[in-house]
Amino acid sequence: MVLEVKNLSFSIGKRQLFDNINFKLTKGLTLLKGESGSGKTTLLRIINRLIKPEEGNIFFSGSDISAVDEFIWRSVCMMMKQKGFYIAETPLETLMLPFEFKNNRKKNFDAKEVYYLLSLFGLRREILYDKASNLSGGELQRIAFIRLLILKPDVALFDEPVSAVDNKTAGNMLGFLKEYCNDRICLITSHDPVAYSFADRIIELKNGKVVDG
Amino acid sequence: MVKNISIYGLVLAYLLLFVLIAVSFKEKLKLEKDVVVSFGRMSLQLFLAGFVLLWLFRVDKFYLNVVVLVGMVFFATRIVLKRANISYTGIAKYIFLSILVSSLSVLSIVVFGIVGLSYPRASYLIPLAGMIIGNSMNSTAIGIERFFSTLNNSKEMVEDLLCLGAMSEEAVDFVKQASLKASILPTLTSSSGMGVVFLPGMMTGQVLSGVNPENAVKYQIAIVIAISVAVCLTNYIMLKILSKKSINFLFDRGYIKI
Repeated sequence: MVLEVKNLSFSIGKRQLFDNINFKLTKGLTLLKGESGSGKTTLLRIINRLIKPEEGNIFFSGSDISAVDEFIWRSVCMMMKQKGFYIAETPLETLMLPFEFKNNRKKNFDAKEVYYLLSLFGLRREILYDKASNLSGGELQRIAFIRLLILKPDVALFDEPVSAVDNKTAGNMLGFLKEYCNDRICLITSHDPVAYSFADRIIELKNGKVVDG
Repeated sequence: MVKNISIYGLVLAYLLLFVLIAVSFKEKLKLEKDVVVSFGRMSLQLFLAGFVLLWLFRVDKFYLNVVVLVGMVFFATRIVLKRANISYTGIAKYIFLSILVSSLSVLSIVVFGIVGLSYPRASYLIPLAGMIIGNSMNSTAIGIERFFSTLNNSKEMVEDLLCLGAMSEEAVDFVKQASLKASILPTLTSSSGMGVVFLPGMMTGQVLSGVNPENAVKYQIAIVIAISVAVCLTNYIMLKILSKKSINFLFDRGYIKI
C-alpha cells in the first residue's frame, strides 16, 4: 500500500503554495510539519480530493486516484478536519452516522471498540448519550478522532487532532494512533512537539517543497 | 343567495385603508405610497381575475384548463425564485416540476376522487388548484430559502461528512430534513388553529354564499388535507432533487458561497 504524490503544484491567488512536490507515503504514521500558512491543511485537502490540484497526480497502490469517483475515494481515504465537525443530537449518533453511508455499509459499528477508545482517551461512557451541543472543544475533538478511527480507512488523514486536549490525553491518542497506523497509511499535521516522538517518519513543508524533516 | 356588496359598501372598504395609511404616517413608516400601490394593484388583478374566471367557467374546455394550471405553476415558480432570492439558472425547472407533479396529482384525487366529478369542470378545478398551488408556492419559498441558507451556514459540517465517505445527498441530508420540517410546519400550525382561532376563507365563502355549513366543513377538511399533502410532496420532491445534485453543482453555480 503506497500513496504517491507526483509533480504536485498549487497556488492560492498569486502565491505558489506547492511547487512541483513529490513524495511517497507507506504504512505507518507520518507527521507533516511546517510553519503556519505553509499549506499543511491544503495538502491534506488535496489528497482527500476536496480541492483539485493545478498540476500533478496522486497515485494509490499504482492507480491514479482521479480516475476513481471522488466520493468513493473519500471512503478509502478519510480525513479528520481541524474544526467544523458535524454533530448529531448525541455523540453516539455522531459516531454511528457514517456507517449509514452507502460507501461505508460494509463496515461494522463495534460498540466495545468505542467503549475502549472512550476510556483510553479519558471520556466517560455516558457521554455517548449526552447532548452533543453541550460537549467541550476537547471532548468534541476526541469524538471526531474516535469516529475516524472506528471507520478504519486505508488512508487516514488527521489535521491537528490533539490541539484541544491536554498532554497526557494527547499522548494516549497518539500512542494508540501509532499502533493503529501499522496497517494503514496515516498522515497527521501537528504543531504539538509531543506528536514528533510518536511519528514513524517526519516530513516538512518548506518553501513550497516537501522535504524529510 | 349571498347579498351583493354595493358600490358604497366597496367604497367603505377602501376607506378602511385610511387606518393603515394614518398609522404609517404617524409612525413615519413611509408605507403610504406602498399601501396605495399594493391595494390598487390587488384590486385591478382581482377584477381581471374575476373576468377571466367568468370566461373560463363559461368556455370550460379541458385543454384550456390545463393551460391555465400550467401557467399558474409557472408564475408560482417565478414568485418562489424571486422571494427566495435565487437566480434562475438550472434550478427553476426543479421547482416547476416539483410543484406541477405534486399539485396536479393531489388535485386529481380531490376532483375525481373526493368531490367525485366525472369531468374536471373549470368552476371546481381552478379555485381548488389556486389554493393547492398557492400554498405549495408559499411553502416552497420557505423550504428552498431554508435549504440554501442552512447549507451556507453548515458548509463545514457538510464537508466533514464528505471527508468520511458521504455521497453528496448523504452529506446534505441534515439540511434537507431541517428545510422540509420548516416548509411543512406553517401548514400544520394553521390547520390546528382552524375553527378555533379563525374560520378559513373557503369555508367562510361557501357559508356566505348559502352552502350548508356541514358541506362547507367537509370541503374545508378535504382541501386542508390536500394542501398539506401537496405542500409536503412538493418540498419533498424538490429537496430530494437538490440534495441529489452533486455538491459541485451547488458550488459551481454559486448557490453555496465559499
